Amino acid sequence: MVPQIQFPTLTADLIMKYKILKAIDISGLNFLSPVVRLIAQEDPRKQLHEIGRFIIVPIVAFAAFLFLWSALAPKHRTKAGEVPTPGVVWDASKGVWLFHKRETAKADAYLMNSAERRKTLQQATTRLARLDALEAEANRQISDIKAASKEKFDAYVAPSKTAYDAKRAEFRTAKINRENSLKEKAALLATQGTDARIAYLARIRENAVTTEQEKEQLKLLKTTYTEAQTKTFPEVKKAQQAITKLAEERQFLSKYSEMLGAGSRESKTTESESLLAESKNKFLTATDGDFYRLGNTVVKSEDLLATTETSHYAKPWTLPKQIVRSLLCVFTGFLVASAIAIPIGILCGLSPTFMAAMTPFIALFKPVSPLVWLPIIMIIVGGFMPEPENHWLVKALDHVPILKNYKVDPMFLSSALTVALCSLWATLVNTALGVASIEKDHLNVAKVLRLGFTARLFKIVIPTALPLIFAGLRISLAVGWMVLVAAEILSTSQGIGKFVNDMYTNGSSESFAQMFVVVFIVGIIGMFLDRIMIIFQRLVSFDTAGSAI
Amino acid sequence: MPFLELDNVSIGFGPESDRVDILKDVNLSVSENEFVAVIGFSGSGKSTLVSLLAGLEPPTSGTVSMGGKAVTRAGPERGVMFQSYSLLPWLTVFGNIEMAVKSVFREYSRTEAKAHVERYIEMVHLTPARDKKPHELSGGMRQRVSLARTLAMQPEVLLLDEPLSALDALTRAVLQDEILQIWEQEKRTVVLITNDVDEAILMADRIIPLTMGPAATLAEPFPVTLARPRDRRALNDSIEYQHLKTDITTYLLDLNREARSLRSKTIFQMPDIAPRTFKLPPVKLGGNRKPASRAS
Repeated sequence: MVPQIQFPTLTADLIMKYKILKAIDISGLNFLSPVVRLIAQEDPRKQLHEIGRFIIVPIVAFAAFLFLWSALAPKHRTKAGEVPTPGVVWDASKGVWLFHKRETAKADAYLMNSAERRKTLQQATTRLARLDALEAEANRQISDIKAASKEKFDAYVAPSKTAYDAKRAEFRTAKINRENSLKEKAALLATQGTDARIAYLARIRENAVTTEQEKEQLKLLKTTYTEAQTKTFPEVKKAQQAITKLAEERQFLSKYSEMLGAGSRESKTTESESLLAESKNKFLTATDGDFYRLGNTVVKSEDLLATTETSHYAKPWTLPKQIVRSLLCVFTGFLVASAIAIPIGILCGLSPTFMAAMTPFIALFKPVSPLVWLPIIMIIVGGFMPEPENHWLVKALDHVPILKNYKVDPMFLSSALTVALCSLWATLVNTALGVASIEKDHLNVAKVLRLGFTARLFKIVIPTALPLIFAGLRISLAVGWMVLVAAEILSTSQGIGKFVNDMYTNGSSESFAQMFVVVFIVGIIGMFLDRIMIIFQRLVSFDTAGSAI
Repeated sequence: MPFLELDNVSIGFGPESDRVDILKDVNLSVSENEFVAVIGFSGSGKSTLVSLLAGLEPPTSGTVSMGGKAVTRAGPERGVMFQSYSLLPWLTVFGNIEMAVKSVFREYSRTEAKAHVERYIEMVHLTPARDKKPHELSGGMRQRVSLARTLAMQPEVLLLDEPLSALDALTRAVLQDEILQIWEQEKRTVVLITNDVDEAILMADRIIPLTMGPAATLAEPFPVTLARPRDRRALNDSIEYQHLKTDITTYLLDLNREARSLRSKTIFQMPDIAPRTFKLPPVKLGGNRKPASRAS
């Protein structure tokens, strides 16, 4: 008698729990599993221990990092101000977001219809009116605070000032005294011999050296004094920031109101229409005059109307927009890399001869830095596109749904190709390895079933290699993301790299903090990309072994 | 009338100048619907014999033929059940069998194919595990899937390459009964490769020992005339069974002895050494014992 297979019966709760745990496992978020198990009341002591280790410890470590950062950063002064603390970086990130929101609001305002515009304009005007009072209040506050902190400020500056003043007076008298004494001695020299005269020379040198030393000392004291003078107390700084914020808002609101009023597309269109009507009327009703000139004006007015009707607000590149462009760029490069690497990798895995042919290229080009590839690619791409605007590829990409909003240009393509060229190797090598490591037994099965080449490729070879292909793709995407920022900085292609470069050239303390913001954004996005690839990799893996990091 | 035939077949590996023969001058003829067991020690070339019969490897000399036609390549008419299951790990039980069915019976419609696959899953009693992946199954269940896949191709010859050697004794017995039962139902020509004398006697009509490699060949067959269906419990008491088992075992052991004596013609004089003391050196963790100290 053949025993029937029995699978254990599970309650709905247990099935739910295992489903969640499996999802957590596949997404590689294993630190969450003790929480789920704790909720399911499974061995609470053990789960609490695990939570302590995998959740609390990382949080504590990160908190320690933040603490060290806040403590150490202000100690280092640069020409762009102090190294920003976490708090400053957080404020900077809010600033970046606010700028983006305001620019988006302007762009939206430009396109609104009249009813909407009127309503929004009303709101903006109300806010502007309120700003007056707020600004007056802020100004009053800052003068109060400044008055209040005047004493504190003086007390802070006083020691260094007294020290400096005292030393300066002291050195001045000492110098006059020394000079007088020298002059007295000089008067006597006329009657003295060579030895005395030579000794006198030494005295003059001595005086010069002492004067120089005193100058140096004084300089140091002066620096301390000036530095003390630049001291702004936190409360003053805060009040100043509040004023700056209000001023920025005022500037935004006035521009916004303009976009909602005379500057809107609708108003501009109406203006152009009336201009056209006027010129047309002039042209049609004129009895004599320069008809050529009048006709020209009509045609130009028509063109103007046409462009105005489809125009958009020239929105500057805000960081979120640049992030999206960078992501598009990295995915373009990644797609190109995959399209090249996977087929070649499969061929390499299938044919040792082909592999032998490819080995020199892999060995030679794999270690080449993106910073070398990029200029070369830029020149080559530039050679293909002497007039980028009229090139068929750029024109074609202008019709691709999302890409068209992000201005694909040769710089974008060069960066994407650099990403592709640097990232394809991991996928290529992994694919080749995956295909080559196919089991002989599986090939025997294919032989017995008399599978043709295509069936063998798609039913046996590729499924075998898929986990390793995805492992390669994961590395490729991570490499691509790292390469991209460098490529964008060098090629000044709009994107995160361009933002960093702009902030670097800008050199203000705020832009310095925004560069730190970029560090975290790049890190977080990189982490997410990696997670996504891990999930894909886990989904195509057919064995239970091996867990994601 | 032989159905499956090996005629003076030799196969070797290595370069022409330094060829090592695995099988030499092998002659085998299997009649239609006959159940033949080839028995031999491991490493004697049993799996190579299956590869030859299946057409997975061409012989160096001699011919392999089936139904009078030379075998030049593998095909579904000779279904192989591999020792290591060789199931595709990314497909379910159903998927594995379906792939075989779809590539053999291309003319089947979707429903026909499905019914066909399910019939064979039912035949090996795996219906509850229909949608499981191989790694979720036990060894015995995997081997059943492999059996179902091979049977689903409806081959004219079944080549079973030590199909049960990786299984525990209990599971093996169950599967032996299952294979026999299926064979009784749909008669096929079967060549079973095994290293288990009991298994061979229980299942086969004829048992052919494979001599020790290298250059192994098939020896004189032992016909098994025990009545079918055979009951393993009754078999133990049968005199005929006991005689047969003793004969085959003795033959195999003699083969082994002969092979060993052939291998060690020259007797090496061992150096005259003895440990200085009888105290054993300390045993390291991990169990690697250091060699005893040599006498000077």
